[in-house]
Amino acid sequence: MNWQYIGSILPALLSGTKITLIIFLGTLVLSIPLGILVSVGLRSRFKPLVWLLDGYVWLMRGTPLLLQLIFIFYGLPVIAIYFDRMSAVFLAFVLNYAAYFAEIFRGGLQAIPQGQYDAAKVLKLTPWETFRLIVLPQVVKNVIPAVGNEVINLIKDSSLVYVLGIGDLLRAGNIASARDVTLVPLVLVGIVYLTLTALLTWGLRSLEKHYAYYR
Amino acid sequence: MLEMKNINKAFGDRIIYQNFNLTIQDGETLGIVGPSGAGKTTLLRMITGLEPIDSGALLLDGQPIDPYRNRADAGKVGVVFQDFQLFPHLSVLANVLVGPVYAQKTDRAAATQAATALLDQLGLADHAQDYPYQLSGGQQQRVAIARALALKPAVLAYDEPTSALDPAMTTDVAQLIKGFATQGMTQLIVTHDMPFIDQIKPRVITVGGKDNAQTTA
Repeated sequence: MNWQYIGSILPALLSGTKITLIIFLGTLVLSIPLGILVSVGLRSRFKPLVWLLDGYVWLMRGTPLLLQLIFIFYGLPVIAIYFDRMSAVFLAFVLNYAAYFAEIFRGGLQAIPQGQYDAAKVLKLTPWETFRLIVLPQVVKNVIPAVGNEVINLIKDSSLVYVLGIGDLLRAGNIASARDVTLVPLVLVGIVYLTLTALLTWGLRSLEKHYAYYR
Repeated sequence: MLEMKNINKAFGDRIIYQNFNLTIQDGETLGIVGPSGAGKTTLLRMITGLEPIDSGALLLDGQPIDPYRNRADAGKVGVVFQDFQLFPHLSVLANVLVGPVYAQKTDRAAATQAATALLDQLGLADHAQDYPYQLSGGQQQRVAIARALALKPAVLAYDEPTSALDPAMTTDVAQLIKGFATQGMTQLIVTHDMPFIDQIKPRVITVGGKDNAQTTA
């Protein structure tokens, strides 16, 4: 093992990891609240809103994220809509992941018995109090495993930004591998992804344990 | 005094109540019995604001109330649900505090003191920090009663109070309801369990059957 070589490519890989984490965290922070909002909208009695949101979820889940990235960054300029690279990445990732989270949260909301809403109503809670105090905490517990799967997918999907020429972890490794004709950078990239997913898995299990205080 | 005047209720073509009248006097315990599907629970849900009334009036002490549309009128009739519907993620004490603290904006310290006294009265003082899943069916029901009473309702309504309990527990519930009756609490019991009603001996009206539409109590 050539430690000197590893030391020489490490700064580029760490810089790529930073970009990967920015995309990951930014997408997570924006797409989960948007997913919750869409899931609530999907249960609306206002049918045109439901149709619109159903169409959005269908479109986002029915086409590849890679296509969405290419469409937004390379396709939209054809009709004079321009995004810089990172804006295009966030737009595609947030819209795509919010659709998946919306479906997960919709399932979580459906699992809450009507009786819980009835009990909240006779206790004079407002719809917002009912959602915040009674429904959401139970939904969160219900959806942690499914959300966890998406979170793990997201860290890996972030490598798709390579197609837009963004210097994420995979791109940093690939450039070093092609330049130096060695597999070492790609192995290191794999190790970084494995470490990140292992940390996330541990975090998600801790969260599940935290919510195991009731049944 | 709770009154239902000329109540009409239908689900599609199926008329459940037609010009239905009912009066529950203060301090009275009233049993509403009838076969499954007769509309007993619908009656309870109309009184508690969980189901809209097609037409007619709901009066409390002579004043019209509309708990279905008006949140200020919700909680005037407390409910103990058939399956209790405790909030599983909240402790026993937190379940009882939800109404007073969030809906009535009672000071938390004062509400906690009142809730603790209520739990003590119902024999649940040692379970205040437990979660619903840690309690027996009978204990969960008493938490549901405490939660309903915390809002100081004018009437306490029970929906099939024995259906989720084993037979040995039904006598305890009957004793509890009789105790409340002795204290002058106004209560409404919806049930099809006649032996249970026989233990309490309240005034009883029967709903259901072909003359359901004309029932006047």
